[in-house]
Amino acid sequence: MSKIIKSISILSILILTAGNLLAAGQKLTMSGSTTVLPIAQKAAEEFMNEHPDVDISVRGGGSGVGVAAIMDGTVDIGNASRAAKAKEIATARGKGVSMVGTVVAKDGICIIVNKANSINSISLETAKKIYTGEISKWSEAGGSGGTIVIISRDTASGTFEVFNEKVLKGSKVREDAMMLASNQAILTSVSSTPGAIGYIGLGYVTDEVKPLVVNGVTASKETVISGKYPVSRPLYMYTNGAPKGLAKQFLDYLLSPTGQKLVEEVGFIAVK
Amino acid sequence: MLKAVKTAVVCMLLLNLSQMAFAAAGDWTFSGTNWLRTRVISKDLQGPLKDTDKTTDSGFSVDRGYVRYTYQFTDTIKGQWTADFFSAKTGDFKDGAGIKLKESYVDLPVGIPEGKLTFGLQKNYLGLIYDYDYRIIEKEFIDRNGIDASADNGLVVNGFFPMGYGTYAVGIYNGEGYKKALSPDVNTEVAVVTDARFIVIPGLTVGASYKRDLQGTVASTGNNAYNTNNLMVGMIRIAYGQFDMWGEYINQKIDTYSTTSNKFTEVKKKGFSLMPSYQLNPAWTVLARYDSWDPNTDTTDNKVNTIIAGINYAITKGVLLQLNYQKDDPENSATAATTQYLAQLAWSFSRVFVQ
Repeated sequence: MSKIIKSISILSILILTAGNLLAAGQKLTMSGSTTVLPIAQKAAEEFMNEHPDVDISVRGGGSGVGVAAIMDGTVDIGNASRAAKAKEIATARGKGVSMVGTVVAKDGICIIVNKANSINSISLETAKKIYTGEISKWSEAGGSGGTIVIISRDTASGTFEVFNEKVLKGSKVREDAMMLASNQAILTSVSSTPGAIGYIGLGYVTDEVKPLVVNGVTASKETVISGKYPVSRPLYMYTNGAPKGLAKQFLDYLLSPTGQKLVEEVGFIAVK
Repeated sequence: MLKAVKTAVVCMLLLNLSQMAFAAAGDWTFSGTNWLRTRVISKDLQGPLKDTDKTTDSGFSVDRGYVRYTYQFTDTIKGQWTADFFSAKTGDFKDGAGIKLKESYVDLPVGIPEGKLTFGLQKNYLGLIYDYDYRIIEKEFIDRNGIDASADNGLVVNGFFPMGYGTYAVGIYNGEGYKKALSPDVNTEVAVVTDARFIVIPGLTVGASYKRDLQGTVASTGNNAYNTNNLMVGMIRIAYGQFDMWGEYINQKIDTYSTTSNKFTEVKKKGFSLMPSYQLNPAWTVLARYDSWDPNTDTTDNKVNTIIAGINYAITKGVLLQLNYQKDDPENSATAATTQYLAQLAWSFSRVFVQ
């Protein structure tokens, strides 16, 4: 009898130890959009504080990388600042991957100019003419500052893709445009260049630059949520199938009042 | 040899010129793949299933290399150009190597959401040719058996069904493949191709292709009689977790007109190929393939069955080591069976240059 009790005890200890080891090994990986990155990083930090047994790895790379990573099964969550394209969805489905996007926040893309510029508002049509090179002087667009200096996000970014879809409508950006790799770089360049125009996520706007009213609508939390602001977008976290396990726990956390507060803390708009 | 060097120099100059031209405009991608191969091929000279194999060929070779430029003019307009450098028997090519244009096409918007018009020398939207990624060293089934060419000149409307439910393609080609683009004897009528894939549920794809190629008879007067090639292909793909299997069934009917007898001769061909693979981990994948091809269903003993087993090892991203065992077993006992042991190192690269 004693032998049986001993065996059961040892077995129980082994099972508990194994259980603890497994729990200690709980890991969540995500990669993708640099726009979604601050949300993912902030939420991951707070989530890990609340769950010390969980290890969350967050990487950037761009929306395309996030979507591809879900297709290839190399991450648990793929972040994207745009919806997955038909080609990506079809390729994923063919591989047996069902891409499910959860909208975790919304973002408005603000068109910004240097504070010295007299212009206050712009239409989407004028913005397109400026970015495609049809208009090259601020005097032709109702502003001041001489020649227009065009600053854009690089074409690999989700921010560019949305600007391209909503403003450029597929037309090519003027060849001499400065293509910068981050919202912060655009903010810095526009604030220090008198004739500059750029575009950044609403959360990155500071009083160093002047955000323009677009088609008569000011970019704000209210106008983005209501859909009145014309250059806005949802931010996604993609999973293979409906979120489950740790990914579900994390997304539930991000969509909870606590998580949505974090979204606003990093400058984006809560969806709940 | 001098000719090959000259060709290479001209190509390099062209590539550099293209690079300079592209540097000032939209995004472009420079990519390529090379296949370095070693092989041991033995033939069973006494018929199948006898242990008297004799090695008939072995050695190292750089079988092929692709160099590709992709240029994105706008969101909806893209050009792609691919050159195929290949090793060849010296009897066919003086320097033992050659170059041919494999792709040169432009994608244009066609007014259909998620659809485009592809114009130029492009892949053939038929069966699995379009999808084949050389996960097994042997060519794709249709390509290997000469059923149809892997690329052709044409005009194809293609795109995606909404919500990722599949793909479609409808178009016209010369119908004779990229090697005979300017042959006056064969391109008298266009070939019509349709292809559709339906991803019924994630991981289950079914599809079909149909191609009808009319070819004016060489000696006919006024092209009033045609050789006709009708090709039907059914496809299936099952992917679940690390398991992935492709399959296709081919049914071909060729009516050949004889100007001597003023009669048509019909030849029916059929076959199928199944190719399962299982990814053990991100580096290792085990693969298999079974082909069966009967080039004339009315003739006995001319079917060939092929078994391939292989393992792929991804040394790093873009460098793939492939080991294949391949046995071609002809139904006709008088025809020698062939066994091949192949090792291939495929290396590929791709770099996007943003303006």
